[in-house]
Parts: sequence; C-alpha cells; structure tokens
Amino acid sequence: MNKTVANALRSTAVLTAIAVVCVGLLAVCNMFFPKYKPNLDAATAALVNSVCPTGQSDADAYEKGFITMLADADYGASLEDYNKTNKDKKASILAVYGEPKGLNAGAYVVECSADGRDGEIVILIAYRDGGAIGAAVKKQGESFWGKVPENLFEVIGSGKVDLLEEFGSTGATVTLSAIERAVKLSAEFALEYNTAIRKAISKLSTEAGL
Amino acid sequence: MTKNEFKKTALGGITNNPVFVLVLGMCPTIAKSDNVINAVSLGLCTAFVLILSNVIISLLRKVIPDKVHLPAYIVIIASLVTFVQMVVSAFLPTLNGSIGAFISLITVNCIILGRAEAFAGKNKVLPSLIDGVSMGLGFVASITLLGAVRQGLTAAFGSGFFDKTMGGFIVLGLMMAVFNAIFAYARERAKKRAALIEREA
Amino acid sequence: MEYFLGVVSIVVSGILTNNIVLNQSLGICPFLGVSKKTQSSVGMGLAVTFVISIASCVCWILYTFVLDPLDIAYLSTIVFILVIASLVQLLDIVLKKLSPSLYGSLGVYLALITTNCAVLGTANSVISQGLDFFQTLMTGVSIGLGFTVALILMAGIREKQQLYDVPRPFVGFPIALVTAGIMAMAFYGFSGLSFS
Repeated sequence: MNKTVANALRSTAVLTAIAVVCVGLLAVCNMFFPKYKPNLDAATAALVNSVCPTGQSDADAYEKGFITMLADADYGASLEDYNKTNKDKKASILAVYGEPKGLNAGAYVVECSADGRDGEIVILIAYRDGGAIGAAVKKQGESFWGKVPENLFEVIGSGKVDLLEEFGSTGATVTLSAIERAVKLSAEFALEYNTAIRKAISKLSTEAGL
Repeated sequence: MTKNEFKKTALGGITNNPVFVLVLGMCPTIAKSDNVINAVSLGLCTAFVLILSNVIISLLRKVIPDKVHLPAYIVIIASLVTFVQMVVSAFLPTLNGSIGAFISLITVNCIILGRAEAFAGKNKVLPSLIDGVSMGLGFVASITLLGAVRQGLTAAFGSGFFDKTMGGFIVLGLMMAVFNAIFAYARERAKKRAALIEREA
Repeated sequence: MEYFLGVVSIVVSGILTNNIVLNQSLGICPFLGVSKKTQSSVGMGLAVTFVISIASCVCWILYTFVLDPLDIAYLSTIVFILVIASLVQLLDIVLKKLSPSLYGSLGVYLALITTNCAVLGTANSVISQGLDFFQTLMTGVSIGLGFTVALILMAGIREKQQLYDVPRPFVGFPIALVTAGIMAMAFYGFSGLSFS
C-alpha cells in the first residue's frame, strides 16, 4: 500500500479514536452530573418575603414553611418546555414560589429573567388573585441601572408593563426592555397557570393541616 | 531531567509569565479581572485545563501523528473545558452565572494551545506536568493580582470605569509598564554588579 | 417593521455599542498583535469577518438541527471549535490558490483566527440569545465589521505612535493597552444607543 495513504489512514484513525473517547467520557459525565435546578435559599426567601409579605420575619418565613418552591409536577407544567416554546420572547421563567400560609396565603412569586446589556437580569414578581402585587430584582449587572426609575417596580405592581412607554426617556432603554420582556412573559405565564398554581398551593396548605 | 532543567521549567510561570511576559490569553485576563473572585475562579479553571491538557498531550505525544496534531490537541482541550463547564454548572451555579460564558472560551485561550505546542508535545510527562502547574499558577497569580488592583480601584473611585473593559485595558497596561521598569532596573543592576566584579578581579 | 428595527439594532450594536474588542474584551490577542500596520489590519479584519459570519451560521445550523434535537448540547464547545478550525483551514487552502499575494501578507495570522475568542464567543452568544438564522448572519457580519473597525483605528494610531518617543517601560504592549483603553472610553460614548 502507498505510504501516504497509510499515513493518512492512520492520522484519521487516531483522530477519530481520540474524538470518540472524549465524547464517550463526556457523555458518561453528563449522565452522572446533576442538572442545575434553582432552589429556595435564604436570600431568595427574604426577597420573596419582601415582594409578597408573609407577615413573618425573613428567617421564620424561610424556615417554617411559609414559602415553598413549587416543582413542575405540582401544577402540571414543564418550565423547560414552556421556555422552549417562548424562546422568541427572549425571556425565561426560572421558578415559582408559593406561599401556603401567612398574610398572603395563596399568593405566588414567579422568578423570571432576560438578558440586558451587561448580562442576565433576574426579577421576582408576586401575583395574588391573578394580579401583580410587587416585584424585586434578584440579580443584575447593568451599567445603566442608575437610570432605572425607583418607582419602576411599583408601576409593575400596578399591572402596567409598557415600561419603555413610561420610562423610555431615562435612556436606560436596553435595561428597561429586558425587564419588560421578563415581566411580560411572567404575566403570560401567570395567566396561563394561575388556576393550576393556586390549586397546588391550596393542596400544600391542606397537607400542612391548615 | 537535570536539576537545572527542573529549575528552568518550574520557574517558567515567572520568567515566562503568560500574562506579563508572553502577553497571551488577554481576553479572559481583561474581561474577568473585574473582581478578585471572578479572577481567581477563572484562573483556577484555566490552570486545571492547562495542567490536564499538558499531561494528556504529553502522554499521547507518540500516538498523535504530526499532521493532525492541532485538531487532536483542540479536541482534547475542548473536552476538558466541557468537563469543567459541566462541573461548574452542576455544583457552582452562582459562579456559572458570573463567569460561565468565559469558561467555554478557555478552549481558545492561547496559553493552553501554546504550551501544548511548545512544550507538552515534545516533552515527557513529568516535565509537562511541572510546566503546566508552573504556567497555570503564573496565570492565576497574574489575573488575581490584576483583579485585586481593579477591585481596589473600583472600591476607591466607584464603579463604572475600573470594572469595565476600558479600565481593564488601562490598568493592565500600567501594570505591565511597572513590571517592565522593575525588570529593566534589575537587569541594569545585575550588569553593573557583574562589571564591578570583573574590574575587581 | 419591528423585526427590521431589531436587525438594525443588531448591526449598530455589533459595530459600535457592543464592539467585540473595546466593549466585550474578546479577540484582544489579534487586536494587539496585528495592529502595527494599517494594510495588514484591513486584511486580518476581513478574514476574521468572513470566518465569524460563516462560523456562526454553520454553528447555528448544527446546534438547531443536530445538537439540540439530539439533546447533546453539552458537546457544543467541541463541535463549534472544530467547525472554526476547519473553516480556517479551508480559508487557508482557498487563499493560497486564489490570491497568493493576500496569502503572503495574511498567512501567519490565519492560524491565529482559530484561537481568536471573538469567533467562538460570537458562536456561543448567538445560540444563547436564541436568534434566528438571518439575525445570526447579521450578528456575525456586524461583529466582524466591528472588529475590523477597531483594528484599523488602532493600527492608524499605532503607526503614528511609532514616530513619538514613548517612555522606555511603555514601549510595546503597555502603550498599546493604554491606547486601547482610551479608545474603549471613546466607544463607551455609544452605549445607550438602541433601536428596539
């Protein structure tokens, strides 16, 4: 056999072998590593408590079951699928927290996010009886954040989400439009799953013996 | 491996510092040195990939045909990076949020491919390991130093400049100039001392 | 109309407001390495623009129709970097045949494009932003043009700089970095410009 052909064959074989081994190892790793799931930590619970007060201190609300994170199965949805079908809206729903007891029993908080100028903006929006009652920012790194008006979240709470119309003149247009996308998607989500989520929360409160 | 060779390889991270001397891997150095935590974590991820890629490539150096060595190196490095990505996104979600985008860019960090090409592809496993550790630590040290300086300046003068790209460029440029001045001074002194010894003899 | 404005916004953001080098600090190695002469910087910029545009489109196609449906998105880094490396190799062969003179002035830098993080960074970001094909193409082209603009401006400044007496410790990379920092400050003035 020609020497160049043999060499080329050997090169291809080695390269393929390396690629196959690497991909195989990664596939094994991928099976064993847990996928990241957002979970309820003390800081998030404190934020949830501030947008949708339970009437308890942050620590009590977190530890004594006033706030729980709802799993997809609880209200018969799949956040992954939901986000996939709404990909073109450039925002996503990350989690839903319910309040089975306390001041706002039956209310829930939707965690949503969208990409701003300088990375992901994560927002918590509280819903009670189908209307938004409050909102807070969990994470943002926007350089134009100083231009976001302070009463922005009161406006969101009052149900208005045409943020660019309201505050566009401040100049923080990219930041505002990211917030707007996230808020709009969470409102659509809340509209679609309101009944299911509230049913899930009331089931949780009966289980807790309330 | 002689003692001299060992010394030369082990000190490579300083004498051939990837950031300040070779000026390689600038993108993550500037982009993610806006604070110490980002800098250290990205530095450690890079060092991890560098060390393992050096060892693996050195182990396989006789198996990999010369003609396809670049694609082979790239596949190995990219797999290691994907592994790091998986670990970080599974166990360190907050870190994944702050440096996630730059972890996949470790693949194209010139330091790693550069060391594979210049060292690991030609040397035995142990020297390659030492070279990887030395270069990796050199990179971690430089990016951390830069991160600390920028975080300090941001704390002193407020955010908006030193934590942005423009601040990164300027701080790195000034630090490099300071190092150049120190090196030049040290070299001058060594030369003078040598001349003095020569005259006395 | 809204879609059109979105595309305009992508183009403006790629070239000015979110300039890949001066705002996102990607692709700095070639930006510092190949900006000594205006002529070679034009060639390098165009070569990078070509690779970025084609690479992001090919990566988008592979991700949307192969990686995502098969649920093997975790392999994207490997697949993308292989796509980029083969594209660069292809460009190398084509240029050698078609335009030996351009190849002569670009040859050295071509290999550098593989390890230019602007290319992989753009491929990753079009995927994570969930753009459609046309938007991906426009993003690739405009980011490449933004890189070219930054490179040419930098080369113009550095050509003039050679005539001046730069303080000894600043000679070489330090002065280039400080210059880039000042350019980034100028480009920061574009931020906030938005069409959507």
